[in-house]
Amino acid sequence: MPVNIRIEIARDRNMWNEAVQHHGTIFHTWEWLKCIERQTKTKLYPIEAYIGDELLCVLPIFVRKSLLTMVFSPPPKSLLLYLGVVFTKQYGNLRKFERAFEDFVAVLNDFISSEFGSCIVRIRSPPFVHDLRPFKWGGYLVTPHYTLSIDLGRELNEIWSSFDKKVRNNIRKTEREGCLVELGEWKELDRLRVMIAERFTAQGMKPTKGYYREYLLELFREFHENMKVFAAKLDGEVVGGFVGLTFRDRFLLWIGIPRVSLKGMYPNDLAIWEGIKWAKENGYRYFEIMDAGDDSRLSRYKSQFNPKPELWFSAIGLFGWLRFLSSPLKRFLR
Amino acid sequence: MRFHAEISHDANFWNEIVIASEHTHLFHRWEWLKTVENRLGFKFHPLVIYKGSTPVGIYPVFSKSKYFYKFAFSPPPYTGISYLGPALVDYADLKEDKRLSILKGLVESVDKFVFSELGASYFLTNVSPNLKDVRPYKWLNYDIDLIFHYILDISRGVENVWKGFKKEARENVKKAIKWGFKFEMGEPDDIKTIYEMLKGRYKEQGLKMKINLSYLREICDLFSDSIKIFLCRRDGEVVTGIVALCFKDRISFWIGGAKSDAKYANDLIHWEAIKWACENGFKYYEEFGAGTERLARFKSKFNPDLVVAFSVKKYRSFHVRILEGIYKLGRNYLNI
Repeated sequence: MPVNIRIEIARDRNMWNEAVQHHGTIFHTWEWLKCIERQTKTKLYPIEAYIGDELLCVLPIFVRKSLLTMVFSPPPKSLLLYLGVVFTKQYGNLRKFERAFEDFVAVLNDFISSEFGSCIVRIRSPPFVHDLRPFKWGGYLVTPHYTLSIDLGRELNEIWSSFDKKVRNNIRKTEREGCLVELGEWKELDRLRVMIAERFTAQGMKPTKGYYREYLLELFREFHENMKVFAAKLDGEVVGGFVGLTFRDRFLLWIGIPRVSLKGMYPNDLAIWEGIKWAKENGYRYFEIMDAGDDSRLSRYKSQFNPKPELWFSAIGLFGWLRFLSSPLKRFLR
Repeated sequence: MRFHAEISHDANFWNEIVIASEHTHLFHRWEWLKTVENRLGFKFHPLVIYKGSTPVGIYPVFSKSKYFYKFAFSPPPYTGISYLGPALVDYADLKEDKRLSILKGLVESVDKFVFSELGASYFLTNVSPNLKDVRPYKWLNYDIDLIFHYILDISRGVENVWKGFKKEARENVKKAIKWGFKFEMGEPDDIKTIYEMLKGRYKEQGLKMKINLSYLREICDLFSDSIKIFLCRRDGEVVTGIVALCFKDRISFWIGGAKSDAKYANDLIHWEAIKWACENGFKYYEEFGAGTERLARFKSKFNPDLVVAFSVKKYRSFHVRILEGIYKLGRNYLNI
């Protein structure tokens, strides 16, 4: 029985941000988590796990209590794919990491059971956490997902020639047609937001009212330095593009690239290429085209840029009486 | 260009792909698969997948009918085969869009063969740890589970490998030597001793050993050049033994190493097997199965890296899923 790990709820924003700075993502920063809490109308529990006085790891969880209590990291409708546990140091030794992680999951399960009783838990870990055995051993159903990452450590020419021929031609054609990619501001981000919502409507889906306007505006103000809007414009009008995020050595293609029907023009392809060039010039090591690997059409589109699929994992756990529903419900929720 | 799966009867062609592909092990060899068919009563479907007229990979599928159902596997149960599944050729050199397109075409054509032509109700594949991308299975609604293995890089040399061991493992090895345990290479016939020890250990735990000895013997005879047996004796008596598979630059700890009264003997035998592998030019020491908590802890003493692999399965209908649940309940709790 693990007795040496204790869980605390973080109160100190600076200490939290310090903990996630080296091994976390931008989504783990205190400010982003607070934006999620407001957007998703959940309650944030920024969990810190200590061994003695040493901070082992952090895990932000969001709790929604209604008929059924749901515990998420990240919650739905936060425009995030993954969040999960961040360890404060890199373990050079697998068995030490295994032990620490396993003990943490056992303590976490106790914490969840005592705080929330019967509930559904979904924790989606970032791409650099691969040993999910402690979640499996702790009774979670763990399933793989794939995001896509381009190594910018190579020469730009090499990256360009690694693209599919078709996408290279698309980019050239779009440039010839006079499409330009600019670093935009809120106006461009807002236009992209509307285009994404329109695309959902065209696909027969019903986007939420206002489609994340307040949330994105708040994030844009808070993370102005890290948020890069790559807007593809034709005659001054936004016709495609995406919102990128910078953190540590990664550039994330976060949201955007709405499908565009302009004959002979591919503004999203051009915007991605300009984003890659910008990320490389600005010293980032990886350009991640964020993905879950669930949609065959999208994965095939993104694969034209020759990224490497990177694994990330989702863990679903059931607590209390919900355990009896185990397998079928977990598979449905994954 | 269209993909299609064809049954192959060409053992040489099959084995050439086994050598060329990065997704294979000794298990993929034609002779091993034919032994499974002949000895264990599974029907072998050696599928070669073509893109147009170009072969892009192989996929060994086995089937067995029971009651009103047909089950398909790659690998079948109780064969000692840790993983099988698709093996693609020239995969690593391709660009991502081509890789994805070929993998998708291959998986779709095999799925079509298994469920439409073979009429199977259930299909399970344990994919090679070298094939990390199982998105095409996701898109066909397969359930995906995680399997873990360990791999130890022994190309660093014996001394560095020894230094990387947990202190406890090093101490155990020293104690085993001090207590008079002696290591030696075994003969194919020694599989019987290792088998009996494993059987005894299973019995102690209230489990049945479901793998067949005569099948293991045949495999050991067939691959006598690639299968190595390591034994540990005290006062002339075998106290533990392991069977390892040699394939390309890897040596894989396959079966054996049953827990016994001879404390520390298993630490010694793994260390001796690793030393032998280093001296004989192997680069990796592979340990199948790191997903079981207790065994994972024993194996992680040698400081290996974790390897994630996937097991994928699909049911034709919901009631087959329920049947599998009942079968597992019987196997795990009622020991039938």
